Amino acid sequence: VNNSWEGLLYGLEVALTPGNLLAALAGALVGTLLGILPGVGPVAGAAIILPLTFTMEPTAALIVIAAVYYGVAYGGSTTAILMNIPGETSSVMTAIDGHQMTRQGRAGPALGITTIASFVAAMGSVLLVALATPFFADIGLRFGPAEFFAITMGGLIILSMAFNGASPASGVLPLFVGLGLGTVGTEAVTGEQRFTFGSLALADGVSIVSLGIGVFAITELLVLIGTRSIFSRPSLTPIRFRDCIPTREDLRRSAAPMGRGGLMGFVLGLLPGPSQVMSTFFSYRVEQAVGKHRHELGRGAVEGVAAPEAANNAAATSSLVPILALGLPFSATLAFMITALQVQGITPGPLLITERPDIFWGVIASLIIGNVVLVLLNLNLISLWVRVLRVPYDVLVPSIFALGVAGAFGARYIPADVLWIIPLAIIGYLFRRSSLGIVPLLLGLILGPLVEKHLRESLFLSGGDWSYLVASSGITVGIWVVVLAALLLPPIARRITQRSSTRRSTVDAG
Amino acid sequence: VSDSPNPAALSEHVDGERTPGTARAHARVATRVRRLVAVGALLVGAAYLFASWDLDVGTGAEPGPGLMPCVVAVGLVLGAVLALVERVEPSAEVEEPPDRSGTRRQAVVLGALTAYVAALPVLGFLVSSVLALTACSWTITPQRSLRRATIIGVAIALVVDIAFRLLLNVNLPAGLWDIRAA
Repeated sequence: VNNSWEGLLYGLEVALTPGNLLAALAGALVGTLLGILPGVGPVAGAAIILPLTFTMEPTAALIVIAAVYYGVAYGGSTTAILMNIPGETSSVMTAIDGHQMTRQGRAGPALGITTIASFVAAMGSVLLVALATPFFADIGLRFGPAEFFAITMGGLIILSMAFNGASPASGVLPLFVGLGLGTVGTEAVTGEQRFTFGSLALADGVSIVSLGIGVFAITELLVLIGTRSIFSRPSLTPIRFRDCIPTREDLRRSAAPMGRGGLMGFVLGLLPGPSQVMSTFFSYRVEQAVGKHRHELGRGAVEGVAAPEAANNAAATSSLVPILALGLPFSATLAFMITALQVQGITPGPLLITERPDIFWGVIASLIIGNVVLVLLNLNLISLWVRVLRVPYDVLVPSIFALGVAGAFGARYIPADVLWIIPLAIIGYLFRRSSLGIVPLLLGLILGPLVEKHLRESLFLSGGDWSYLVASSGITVGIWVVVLAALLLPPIARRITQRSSTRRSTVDAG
Repeated sequence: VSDSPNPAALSEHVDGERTPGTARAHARVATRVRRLVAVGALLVGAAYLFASWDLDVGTGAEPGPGLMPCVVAVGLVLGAVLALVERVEPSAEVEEPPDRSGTRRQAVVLGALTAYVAALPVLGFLVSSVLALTACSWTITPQRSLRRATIIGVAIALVVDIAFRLLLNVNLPAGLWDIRAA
């Protein structure tokens, strides 16, 4: 594979085999379902799906997870538009104008524009991703243990901060709890037992699937059970495929917002942090500033649906670049991709593009296929999705419990993995109740062992010289400068804006 | 990076139910829970440090299995101290605490789940699922109908059991008395 176009063609060859096609279809279906169901977030969904991919071919496994990831994005906006309940945080902005359109009897066109905007932006983003990744691969080839340590540790630090805004404790504590859980069990280098207290049940360590199910799925349901809305049931009017075709006017008005949103989403998706959520937020703001019909935003303007949906899907696509090219997941759902790869004995990272082009280009190409599948599924099955939304909670909640327990056991056939769910769910619930992040917990558990491995290799290579971790190459210096800037700049910027605003208010008062 | 928009704050646009007063009250409750979590984390951190005492830290050039736990223990204690002194700021991101009946529902469901995973190796997936899922469903069903809850529990247990065994080839625990064999 010499260039991006050849790569993409090769990838299509891989992705278009019947097995992989089926994987994309199944993943898209399940993802849409998970996105639509309230109370089952994308992370919980991926945790339930993950164990089912362990027996698949590596490429098929990744295609399933990528399709689930996409499907959740499509499905989440359906719930947002129809019920004003954002199925996931990145469809919060869509809910504003989308639900207004539903109230005005225009739910169909809102769903139609959502699908079109998502599709156009994701396709554009896939092409840009194909062009951009070989560049990352070239950098990646110069990576040694110190570079890997810098990118994983630095990434962990930035990510644990980014998910929780200004509060340091809400990122640091969960991160170290996750890292701590990652040290339980048989240690990789010497085979020594750590924190097992002689128990065989602990020797296998904490399963990522148990953590995903306990901390994300069960916690989410516990929160839901605590609220009164557990007893409510949505009433919805049926929608048919025919209703979803937008008018020519809708399409004309959506074109520019789609382009702006898509581009913004692509760029933000390459950065660490909650890029999907941020991109929807910023693209809506841009429409408020430059949109031709900006005065209608918030009252059912089609631009308010087109822009954030385009941004969301473009960001979802481009955030695959850091994971495929560097092995660094920028979101919890993508973190499961790392696990899916590790289970198959594949080290995610810069070498993936050159060593396993079938996986790399296969996944990229499968995104194209996944999007086509989703466009067909989303609108054609819309009446089915509406019916899914009416599933009462007393059926939904026990179903997820059963799937969670079965999935946690089926992932490794270790009985202790099922037992872990309960303490992890309690930790997750207490963290949620005290506004501590739960995403850093997952990232700590997944990336912790990698951090340890790279750290020990670096120290071994340098003969115990710790400065090697920072000064071994220009790349490590660069990474740590970026990490430092990401940590220091936001508080400084906040202080400056605070000072200028207090000065302004004192001037006003005087 | 840390100036990311708060998604829950955005959703305030959508539901528009919260007032600054309730947000402050929620933050106060969250701060109390956080203190509790922090004290727990401190204790766990201390125990973790104690347990990693025996592990070999190794030399500079040949770091041992004890190095990472040492780093983690320090971070854990640091994080716990941060959580202890930090207040939760009132924002829409702060979880609304459940009322008394909500807490009771959570306790019942969590109890049912604990019994579920504990009974799994003994009773097998099918039997323990039926019992636990019926209990969960009954707790949250608006009709409070045991008949409805039992039907739901049995149906889900059967569907998941069949799906995992036949479609996914996952052998779920059969229990000490394999009722499928009988």
